[in-house]
This record gives sequence, structure tokens and C-alpha cells, in this order.
Amino acid sequence: MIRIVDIHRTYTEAGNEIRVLQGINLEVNAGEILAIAGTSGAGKSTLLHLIGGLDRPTSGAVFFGNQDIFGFEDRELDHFRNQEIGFVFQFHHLLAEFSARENVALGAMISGTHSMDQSLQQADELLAYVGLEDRLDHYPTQLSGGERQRVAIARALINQPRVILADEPTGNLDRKTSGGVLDLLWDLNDRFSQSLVLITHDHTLAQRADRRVHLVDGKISEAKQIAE
Amino acid sequence: MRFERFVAGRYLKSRRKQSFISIISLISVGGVSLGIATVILVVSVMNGFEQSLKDKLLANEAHVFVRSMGGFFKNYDQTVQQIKQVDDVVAASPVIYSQLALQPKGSKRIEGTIYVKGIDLKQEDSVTGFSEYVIGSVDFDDPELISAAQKKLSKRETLKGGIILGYNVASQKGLFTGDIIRLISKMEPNPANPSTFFADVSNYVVVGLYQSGLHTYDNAFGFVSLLAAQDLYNRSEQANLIQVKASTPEIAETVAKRIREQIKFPGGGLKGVPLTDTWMKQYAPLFEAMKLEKIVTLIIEALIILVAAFNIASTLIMMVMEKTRDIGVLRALGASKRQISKIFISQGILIGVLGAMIGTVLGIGLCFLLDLENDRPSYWLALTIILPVALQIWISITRSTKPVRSTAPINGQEDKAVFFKIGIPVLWILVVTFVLYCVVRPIQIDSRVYQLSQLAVEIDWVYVLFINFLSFFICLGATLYPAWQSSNLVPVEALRYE
Ligand SMILES: Nc1ncnc2c1ncn2[C@@H]1O[C@H](COP(=O)(O)OP(=O)(O)OP(=O)(O)O)[C@@H](O)[C@H]1O
Ligand SMILES: [Mg+2]
Repeated sequence: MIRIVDIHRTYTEAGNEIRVLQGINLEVNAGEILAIAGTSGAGKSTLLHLIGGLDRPTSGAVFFGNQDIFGFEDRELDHFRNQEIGFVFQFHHLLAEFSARENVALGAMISGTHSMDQSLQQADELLAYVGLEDRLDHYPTQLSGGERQRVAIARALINQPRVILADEPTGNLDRKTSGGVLDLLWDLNDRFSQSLVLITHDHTLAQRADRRVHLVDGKISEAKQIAE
Repeated sequence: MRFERFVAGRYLKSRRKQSFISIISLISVGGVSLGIATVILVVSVMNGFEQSLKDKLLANEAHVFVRSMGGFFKNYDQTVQQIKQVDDVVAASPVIYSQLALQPKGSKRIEGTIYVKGIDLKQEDSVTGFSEYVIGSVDFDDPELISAAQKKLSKRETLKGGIILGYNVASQKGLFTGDIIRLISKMEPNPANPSTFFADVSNYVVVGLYQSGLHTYDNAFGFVSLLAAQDLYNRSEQANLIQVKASTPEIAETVAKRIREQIKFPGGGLKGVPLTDTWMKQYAPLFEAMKLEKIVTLIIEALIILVAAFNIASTLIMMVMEKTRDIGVLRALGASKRQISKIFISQGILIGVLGAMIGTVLGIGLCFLLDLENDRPSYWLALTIILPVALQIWISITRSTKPVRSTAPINGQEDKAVFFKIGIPVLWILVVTFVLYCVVRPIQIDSRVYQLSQLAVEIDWVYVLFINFLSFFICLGATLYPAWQSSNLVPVEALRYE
């Protein structure tokens, strides 16, 4: 469903070229869980942002279906992110001024296709699904770390995207809590058959995924891919 | 816009974590409010001052004055009739206008000069409403007073008639109705003894007092009949001034121009050319001063609102910095650049509109109070302001000691929340209104300096509307840079922003 073709991403910092991604070729199939591993600074987040159309590559293309998302105009790209992609970050990144249900509803409000009330109602259903039906009106500061991450997952789901991009969603949680959050992600993949691209450091976790790739020196390591 | 306004509104009243933001937005709203209120108040007071001064000046002032190059002119009745035919002329009256030395009877010295207007009562009334301002008799030939006065005079002295004196002239000189004054119109060297003079002295009896409240007249004028004035100058059948009333004071210049074009005094030549003057020109220094004052206040007003706008701009720029990561998240959720910038534009507009609304109400309220003449409660009652201040302090103390988690209204705390949300603002509004009611009163001013005894207020609604529009656009302008800044954040970098 997603095809990444020869993606390069180079940062120029104080005259120095930092070549983070150097020709990535990767495919994400519909409904699969793909784990991306790699050392810190390898460029995993950078790659994820590119897949989600949040950043533009130095060269290369990302095909969603058979459309190159970087051929989109800004507006179309925003719409694509809104409708087809759900981001979950390492830090929950919930907006402090908004309650749980409002945070979840934001994505629907941005799309503007639903009324405020409809958006909030959808958010309530999603929060019930992630097990937070009695935390609807809580603000992020009033939630535990695991609860915040569940809200963040619910937020990623609001517009029923076809791809969830999760950047170390449990990187900040203890073992037990992260187990719950991960179970939720797997359950979700089961239920809605969304693709899930998961960045993780955790080996056992990577083993649970349908497929694993390793990011080394700006390239997808074939060795690991074969080791699968 | 729903989404944008929703986020903007929440950021504006944010009480969480970075509570200084909400205080800052409160200050921004306050800045706009104070600016608008000040502008409305200042402009209304200046308007009121100018308007009531104009009303007062014009109540007993002609709009156009017509003179002849030759000074005195004959056949004034004919000219008056001609002038009345000119478009937009409502009334006209002949006058002899002069300045004479004054000597109260019994006094040995000349006690200054007064302006004397010789008037035809009926025609004068039609132009200046003269009679309305007279205390006592308006009859220059009041038989009772005349005959009583005649008895006081020696055989050789003659009485020229009655005079109506300016109220303050009379009180300064200690004159009352029935008293006799001498007016000296000219002096000539005595041919027999050149070091002495013959003075042309006329006696008048005070028949009434003229009180208009306008010091120009009350302090320096006397009125005699036109006939008496003609007699005084040996100018029978002549006048030296024609006063004209136009349909509205504003068109005085136009009417004056028409008169110059259409009217010729009998006699022709240079003498036939009419010279015109208008009330505006007569009071030009006064209105010039006011105009200058207006320009200066306009500049100050613009600065006040500009300061408020800068305030909004800096609030929003800070907000954009505060919310950088949020902006990154919203972009990741699919918000467009436009939507992000609209959040901050809405916020600026919200501040601007809220400020303008409060400011307009405050400004108009203050104008109303400045104009409201009734007995106010004691100034001491303004101390009731302590009540909500104390309450607010008490709340903030008790709130800060409570655990943070309880701020969400979960366990039947909603009644209390509603009280705090609605009750306290209402209390503030009521108390502030009451305090202003106690403190803001009509302001007395020195009528000898300003011609008026009280600061008048006149709200120019068009101007109020204009100021609201102006501030709206200035506030909108203030949002542009922060909005641009927010929409141009690179989402990935914004997300990495700590
Ligand atoms: N805006 C930027 N300018 C310059 N260099 C950048 C920028 N953003 C990222 N980089 C660099 O790109 C490299 C990859 O960063 P990235 O965040 O993708 O790593 P990562 O694999 O996600 O690491 P981690 O596991 O620690 O999250 C890093 O070396 C980083 O310094
Ligand atoms: Mg990363």
C-alpha cells in the first residue's frame, strides 16, 4: 500500500551535510505490522515523518496507493495526513489546554466534515474503546503516562486512517504499562486491519511484528530483513 | 473556522500550567478596552464642549454680519429686505454697533467702556432672540422708569432713553434697574480753551439686564433702541451693521458669499460693496484652538490604540512560541498552514472584539455618568471594591492549596463551578459599576474661562462605530506577523521543539 522509493534526506547544518537517509526502499503492505529498528540517530523518526508526509525528502518518492504524496500540493498533503495517517509519538504530545475527548476530537474538527458535537461523540467512543470511558473530561496533567498514550492512540484513530505511524509509543513507559499499550495497538490492527509502522528499540516487541527491518547507515539493512 | 476558533478560545482563557498566558491575554483585552474607552470619553467630552459652546454662542449670535465700506449707510430697511430675499436667509436686522465710554451717574470718573448695540427690538428678536435673555423690562421707553429717571435729572440734562445692560457690567459697576448712566460718544476740543474738551454725553436709564451666560455679552455689552443710537451719533435713518440669521449656522460662509454677490448698498461705488463677516470667523481663534486640540487628541488616540495593538502582537508572538510543539502536533494531525494562522488571527480578533466591546460599554457608561446629574452616594462607598478583590484573593489562596486533580468537575462539584464561572464575573461587573457610579460625577469648570459651567458630554455614535472598526482592523493587523510566523513553522522541527 505504501511504497518508499529511493528516499534520501540530507540536513545541512552549519555548512556540513548530514546525510541521514541514503536511499531507502521499503514497502508497507495493507494491514501488516512493520517494525523498524535501529540505533539512536539512525534516522527512524526522520523516515517516519517522511512516510507521514510531515517532511519532504531531499530526493525520492513515497507512493500511497499509486500516488506520489510529494507530488501533492500543500493542501492535499495536509488532507492526506488528516485522513490517511495517524501519528503516535514517543511523548504523548497531547495539548495541555484540552481535555482527553477534545484532544481526540481535534483531528475530526480539523477535517471540518463533522460538527463539533459529532466529533466529540466519536472521540467518546474511541476513548471507550481504549478503556478510558471515565476519563473523558480529564486534562493531560490529570492522566497517568499509560493513559495519556492511550488517548494519543485514540487521537490517531479518529478519522479511521489506513496507516498508523507509531514512533516508540512505549519508549517512555514501564514494562507493564507498555504491555497494555502494545496489546491495544495489536488489537486495533486486528480489528480495523490498519497498517501499523512501529519504531522500537525493543527486540521482543520487534519479534511480535509481522515484519522487521533494520535501519543502518541510512539504509535498510538487508541482512536483518533476510534473517526474518 | 469552528476548529480554529475553538483552539483560539481555549488558548485565550488557558488557566493551566502557563497561567501567565491567560493573564497576558487579560491584559491585552484590558489594553484595548482602556484605549477604546479613553478615546470615546475624550472625544465625547470634546464634542460636548464644542457643541454646547456653539449652542451657547449661537443662541444669541447672528450668523452673518454685513457692513458697508462706507461705515454708516442709509435706507437700511431696503437693504434688510433685499438680504431677506437671499437664499437660506431666515432673518435680518439693522444695528448700530459702537463702543462708548461709560460713566455711572454720581461717579466722577469714566469707568471703562462698553459695547453698545442700537437695536430694533422686533427685528433683533428674529435674529438673536434677544428678549429671552433680558431680566426686567425689554421696553426701552418704559414710561414708569423713564419718568422716574427724568425726575432725578436736573433741568439742563436730557434723558436719551432706556438701556439694557449686560448683567455682569451692571453688577461690577453696582448698577440696578432705574439707575442712570452716562455714555460719552465723543469729545471735541473747546475752541475757547483748547486744554479742555466738550464731551458729548447722553443719559440713559437702566431698564433691564441682559444675561445670556455668555461672558462676551454679559461682561461688556449694553443695548439701546436703534433710534436712540441714531440720535447719539446724529445719524438719523442710518445703521452701520446688518445682522443675518441663516437657516443653519454651518452655511454661514455660503450665505455670506451670496450676500456679497447679490447685494449692493445704496450709493454705489466702493461704499456700495458689502463687507461680510461670519460667526465662525469671529470665533475663529477659539475654534482653531479646538481644532488643534482635536488633532493632538487624534494623534494620542491613535497611539493609545497602537500601543494596545503592539500588546496584542507581543501576546500572540509569545503564544506562538509557547505553543510551538502544539502547532507541530496539529500539523501532524492534518491542520493546514491556513488553519494554524487562523488560530492566531482568531485569537487576536477575539482579544480585539472583546476589548472593543468592554471598552465601548465602559466609555459610553463613563460619558453617561459624567452627564448624569443626581445626588451620588458618598465617595467612601467606592471602597466596596475591596469586596470582590478580597473574594478573589481568598479564592486564589484556597484554590492553590487544593490538589490539582480536583479542577475537573467530576463529583457533583458542578454547582460550585457554575457559581465561580458566572457569579464572580457578575459580582465584579456590579461592584465596578457601582464604584464608578459613586466616583464619576459631572465636572464643574470655571465658566469665566470656558463660557460653560459644566463639562458637557456628547457621544458621536458614528465616531464610536468608527473607532470600533478602526481598532478591529488595527488588532487584525497586529495578528498578521504572529499568524505568519505560526504557519511557517516547519512541522518536524516544531515537533522536536522542547
Ligand atoms: N532539523 C535537523 N537538522 C539537522 N539535523 C537533524 C535535524 N533533525 C534530525 N537531524 C539529525 O538526523 C539524525 C536522525 O534523527 P532521527 O530523529 O531521525 O533519529 P532516530 O533514529 O529517530 O533516533 P532516536 O532513536 O534517538 O529517536 C540525527 O543525527 C539528527 O541529529
Ligand atoms: Mg526518534
